This record gives sequence, C-alpha cells and structure tokens, in this order.
Amino acid sequence: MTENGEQNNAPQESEPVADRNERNPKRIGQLIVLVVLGWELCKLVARRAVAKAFAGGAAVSGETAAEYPETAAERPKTAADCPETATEHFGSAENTGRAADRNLDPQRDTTTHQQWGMLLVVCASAIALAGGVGFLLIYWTGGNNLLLGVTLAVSFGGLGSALVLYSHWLMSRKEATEPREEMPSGTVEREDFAENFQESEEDIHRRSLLKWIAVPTAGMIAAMVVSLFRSLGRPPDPSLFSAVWTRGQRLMTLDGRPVNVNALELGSTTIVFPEDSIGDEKAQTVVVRVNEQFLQLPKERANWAPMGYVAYSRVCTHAGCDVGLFEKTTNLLMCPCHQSTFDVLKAAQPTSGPAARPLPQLPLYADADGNLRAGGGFSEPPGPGFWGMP
Amino acid sequence: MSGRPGGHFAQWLDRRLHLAKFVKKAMNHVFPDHWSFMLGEVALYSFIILVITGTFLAMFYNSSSAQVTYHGSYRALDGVKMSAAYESVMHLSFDVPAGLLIRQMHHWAALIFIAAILVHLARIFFTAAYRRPREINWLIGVTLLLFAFGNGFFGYSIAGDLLSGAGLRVAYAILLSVPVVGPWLTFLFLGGTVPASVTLPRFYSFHIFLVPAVISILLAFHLGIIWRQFHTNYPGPRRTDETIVGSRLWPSYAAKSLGLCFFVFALVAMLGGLVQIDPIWVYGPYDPIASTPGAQPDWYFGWIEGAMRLFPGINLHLGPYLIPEVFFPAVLLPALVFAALYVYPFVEEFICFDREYHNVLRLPYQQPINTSIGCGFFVFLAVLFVAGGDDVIAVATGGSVVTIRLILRLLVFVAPPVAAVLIYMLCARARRRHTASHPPAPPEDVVVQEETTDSSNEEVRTHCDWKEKCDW
Ligand code: FES
Repeated sequence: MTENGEQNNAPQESEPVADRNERNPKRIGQLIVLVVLGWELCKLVARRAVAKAFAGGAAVSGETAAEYPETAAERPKTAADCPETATEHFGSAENTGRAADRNLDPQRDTTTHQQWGMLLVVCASAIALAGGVGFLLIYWTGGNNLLLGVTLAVSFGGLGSALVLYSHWLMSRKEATEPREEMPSGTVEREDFAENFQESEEDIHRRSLLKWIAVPTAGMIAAMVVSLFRSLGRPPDPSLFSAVWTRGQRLMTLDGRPVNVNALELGSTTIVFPEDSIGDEKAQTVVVRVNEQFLQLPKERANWAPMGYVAYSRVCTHAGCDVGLFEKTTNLLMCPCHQSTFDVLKAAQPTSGPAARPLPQLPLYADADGNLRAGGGFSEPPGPGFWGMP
Repeated sequence: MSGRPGGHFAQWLDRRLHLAKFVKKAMNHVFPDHWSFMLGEVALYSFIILVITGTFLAMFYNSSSAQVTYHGSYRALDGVKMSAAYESVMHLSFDVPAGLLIRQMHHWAALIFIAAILVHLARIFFTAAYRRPREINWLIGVTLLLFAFGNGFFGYSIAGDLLSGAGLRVAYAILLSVPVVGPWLTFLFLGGTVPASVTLPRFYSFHIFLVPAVISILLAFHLGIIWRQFHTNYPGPRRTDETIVGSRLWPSYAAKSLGLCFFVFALVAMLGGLVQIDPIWVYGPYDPIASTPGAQPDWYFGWIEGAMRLFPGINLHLGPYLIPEVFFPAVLLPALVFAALYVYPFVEEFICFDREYHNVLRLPYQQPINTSIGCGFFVFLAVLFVAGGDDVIAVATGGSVVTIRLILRLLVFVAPPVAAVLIYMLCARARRRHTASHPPAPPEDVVVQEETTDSSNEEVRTHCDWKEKCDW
C-alpha cells in the first residue's frame, strides 16, 4: 500500500521523469513489486473466469443431460425444419419471448461441442490479443505504418472471428418467428386519435390568429436565412467574362522573361502570362509557333499572328483543365482531362472530344524590340461555359 | 438464472429509466439470417470507421491555402512551395506516428462505404425490397448515397494535391454550367474561380460537419424505420408477409453483427496498412500551371467522368444565353439517374396497382421485368464507367481514343437494352422451369393445414404469392 501511495505522489514531483529512476533505485524495486502483484491478480482473475466458464458448461451439459431422456422420443422430429416447433413458435410467439422457443439443439448442446467451441473462441481471442500487443509494440518502437495496419487488422480480425465463432459454436441457433405489426393503425386506434385530436383542437381559441402569426413569421425567418447566404461571397463579376490581358501587355514566361519573336522554333510552344500578373491561372496562354503559310485564321484575325506566332487561352473550354499537350505533326493542342483536341491552324476549333467551343485566341503583335505583346483581350471569355456567356 | 438479472448498474438504470420491458422487447427483436442483409451493416460500420479516423485526421488538417515552403521529412519535396493544406496532410502522412495508416484507412473506408451502399442498393432493388411499406427507407437510402458521393468528393478535394486541384477545377466547371444559377452558385459557394482561398475551408466544413451530420441523422431514421418495420424475408418455409423469421438480436444476432463490425475494421486496417491510396506526395502540390495529368476521380465518379468524355461537343444557345456541353453529362444525367432511383418504387406501385404490403422478397427470376430494367441500368453505368478510362484503354490496346470512344458511344445505347432483353429471357426461362417443377399449390387454407406435416408445400405457397399480385 505504501508503494502505491508513493506512486500516486510521484507525478507531483517536479523532477523530469527520466532521471527519477536514476536517483531513486528504490523505485525500480517498487515497480517490480507492482508488476508481480499485477501478474498475480491477473492470474487470479483468469483462474476464476476459467473455473466459472467450465462450471457453467458443466451446468448446461447437466441440464441438457437431464432433458435428454424426455426429449429423446421427440428428437427425430425436432431436427432442422421441424414443423412442430414451427407451429409452436407460431402459436405462442405473441406473448413471446425466450420461453416460447426454448428448443435446444441436441447437436450443439453436448459438452464436447461446447469445448471445441471454447477452444476456437479462445484461440481467436488469443490471436486478437497477440495482434493488439504487436500493434502496441510496433507503435512504441517507431510505428511502421504497414506493420501497424497489419497488426491492427489481425487484432480486429481475431476479435471478429472470436465473436462469430462464439455465436456459431456456443449459442443455440434457434430460428425465431414473430408476427409483424399490422401496418395501418386499426380503426379503433385511428378513431381514438381523431377524437383526441378534435378535443385538443377545441382547446385552441382563435385559430385564425395562429395562422396569421405563423405564415409571416415563417416567411420572414426563411428570408433571413436565405439572405445570410449572400454573405458567403460576391456576385458573379466581370472576371467571369475576361482575363486580365489588355492591349500592349508584353507576353511573359513564368520566370518573368519576355518572349521574343526569335524565341521559338517552328512547332514549339511556351506558356505566357500578362506582364503584371504572372502566374494568373485564368490568363495563362499558350503560344505556338507554326508555319505562317498553313494558318487558316478567319479574315478579321489575319494580323493576330505575327510570324506564325499564335496564342490561345490555355484553359480548356470544356471543363477548365489546362490544355497542356501539343502535337507537332498534326498541329493539335490536346487537353489531358477528356482528350479534346483543338486545331491550332484553324483558330483552335475543336476537332474531336467533348469540347464544343474553340479556345479563345489572343491577338499578338511584335513591338520595336521584337518582343511579343497582346493586341487586346481574348476573342471570347476564356474557360468553361456558363449561362450568359456571349 | 439468479434472482438478480442484470447486475447493480442495470438496476440503477432501470430505477431511473424503466427499461426492463423495452430492453426485453429489443433483445427479442428478430433479424433474418442471410448474408445479403449484412451489406447495409458493412456500410454502417465503415461509416463508424470514417468518423473515428476522420476525427483523428481533423486534428492535424489545416484548410488554409496560404503558401508555405515545405521542410518536412519527405526529402523529395524539400523546399517546394505548397499550400498550408497540402503541407498539413504531408505532415500528417510522414511525421505523425500512425498518421499515414489512419489517413489511408479513412480513404479506404470511404471507398468501402460507397461500395457497400451501392451493393446494398442493388440487393434491395433485385429482390424488390423497396416495395410497400419500405418506400420511405428507399428514399432515405438513395439520399444517403447522394450525400456519400458528395462527401467523398469533398474529402478527395481538400488534400490540396495536384489531382484534387484538377478535380476541383472540373467540379467548378460543372457547377458553373448549371443554367441561370450556375455563376451565382460558384461565386457564393466556391468564391469564384477555384481554388479560391475560401474553397477549401468551405469544403472542409461541409466534409467534417454538415454532410456527416446529415448522414448521421438520415442513418438514424434509416435504422429506426427498419427496426419498426422489421427486415424482409427471403421466400422460404414459414416466411409470409405477416411474419418475420430469423434469429433474435440477443445474443445470436448481436454477436454476429459485432463480429462483422470487427471484420470490416480488420479489412480497412489491412488495406490501410498494405495498399497505398491517394499518395499525394507522388502527385505533388497543386499548381495551376502544371499540366494536369490524366486526372481520374475516385472510382464512384467514374460514370460521370465517362459521360463527360462520351458526350459530344454540343452547346445549346438560347438567345443570349448558353447551356454549355458539360451540363448534359455531368448535371442532367446524374440528376436523371437519381430521379429514376427516387421514383422507381412509386412507378412500379402505380403500374401494378399494387397496394399490398410486401414482407417476403421476390427473387430476381421471379420478377423478370424488374430484374432486366435493373441490369440494363447497371450495364449503362458500367459502359460509362469504362468510358471514364478510355485513354487508359487506348494506351493499353494501342487503339486511338477516337475509335474507342465511337465504339463506346454505340455501346452505351446498344448494350443496356441487349442486356435487358437477355436477362429477361433468362429470368422468364428460370421462372417457367420453376413453375414446371413446382405444380400449382392447392388453395391456401388447405396448405396451412398441411403445413404441419410437409413444409415444402409452404414454400410453394409463398412462391405463388407474387404471381397473384404482380409479376413486374
Ligand atoms: S477539360 Fe479539357 S477536355 Fe474536358
């Protein structure tokens, strides 16, 4: 007892845990005593439990043994789906319960059967315990996730098996039959309810007043709640319709360098942004250099592509992915999400896949230094379509 | 039994709550014994795992999109700029003991949750368990599926990795495509173009609070109603519309069900430990400029993904307004699918003039029309699902995406009816055989008398019940 008292006091001491043991070798002795005591206690409890379980088993087997002489004559009939037990269920089930279907299964109630069952259940529980111990060990010694998962699974699996084995071996498998409740309430019940309702109805004076209060109040509360949704965000704004490109902005790569007309070889691409918003997702644009002679842009876009440099929005018009792939041989831009393809030569019209609208084109021109600049905004709003998109 | 049932605590409780009668009734509640009744329970138990593991994860997750520089123990990403959200998940995965295990268990449990709900739904459908009086539970169940889908998406999205960011952008496009209210919805709920700084915190609050709360409440109703109405029974001896046959809750069913619970836990733990899922460090942090890889959503969105790929590029211009192409496969189609699920029991009831209470199930072959409709439906979804991976198929087979898509477009219209007709013929044949081998039963009252001597006649009687009513 004194050891225990001291143990309880221990946390109040302010010394760090680590050197407490070093200073007080006495404590190690106390610990050992505690462990031994605990072990003895566990043994005691376990012995008690085992004794009880076996005593119970013996009692049950005694009981069944006592019953066998009586039931022996009936036994052939009570096997499996015996109609007699069925009718018995049927009849007495109403005021039921356990007593009504107390038919013991002769196969399951022998002592050997139960002992086998116990053995299996104990094995499964032991596996569960082992798994648990393994989990703890692994957790406290580094915690490899893989092993943790496996030990956890072993532990739970053991528990589950123990329970299922228990129900299979050590519980009688009686089939119970019960009447269901009639679904609609009976006429008596319903009339009773109606009467009651009527009465309480009469307790309400000035019913119309209730309505006058209820309807406007409910409406108002609804209006207040719905209004609160407005705080969630701003209304759709012009950013839906345009990206930040304006006339005269230089095309900048992600690392902040302008794109010169000599920068790209035929059939190569680069990603560009407006010079004052590099990295802007919506403004991202892909510049492709193609052979000028093959370009088939509409008339009004004839001067949008100096020296074969064409620029399109890099946000897919289908569902907004990055149109990240360019196939040199076919001059197709392809979106990796749902494989829409856009023909670079024909103003990025979709050629296959689920996209319906072309990628918006950015007009380009080259300034005096030979750097590419935007000649205006995109030809259409970039990105996926929406109600009200022009 | 001793004279003191239930011990001191039970008595203490009973003195305060008057429990004896109620608990006795509960203990004697009858549950039918059939593996297929356990599917819903698998879903229930995986939901419990989701709540437990999710609580653990929530203690580490940070939904902020502020940019930080990574210096954790995963060396390959050292010094990389990323969102605080992604960093918190990285920290959880690499620096928290058992963190990765719990995260993977959470993801696996989510997949199993949805799979179990779907299989459960299929079981209900193909045995016609949705009939009166169980329509309410069918409606609740379909709603649960809807919320499970939603929460799966929210959970997938908040990790802040490249794939979830790409998924988020597609989701944004889908929401934006809704006629009239789409732009408003995206700006109010997602904060404009995603991922905006408010998107992840909102998704997080949906994911851990709103949707789980709704799921819990619906689940409570779902279970309460099944408790009140009892389960159905498969046709068999002594199974009638007026009785429930099975084992009692205590002890046999409770032990089995709890055992199943631990098996589900074990399965999830095993998968979480052994099978890698959603390795965000492989994908890298979200970067709007990085070329999106061929992003695939979690499997249960595969059919929507497939529909988005197969649907041709057709816009609908209504004067100055536009209904974009993604609206049809990604909003309209799922809406129709769920609407069909919602109304199905009522349509059947209406067509068959069926006002009876049904507590004995129909086996699939006993209801050829129902079964063939269900199979056609699932084949339709399966073709769409396959289409969701058409680029993978193209790579694997060396064919071109365009041809594969053409074939799949054809299949999506042809395969379901073909499957339906085929299944109908199979069912009808099985039914004919069954009637041939089981001659028509004598009138009911005679059978009831015979029941005591020959239980196989009883089987015939319950088999005939459905024929008199409606062989839909
Ligand atoms: S997002 Fe580009 S094809 Fe769908």
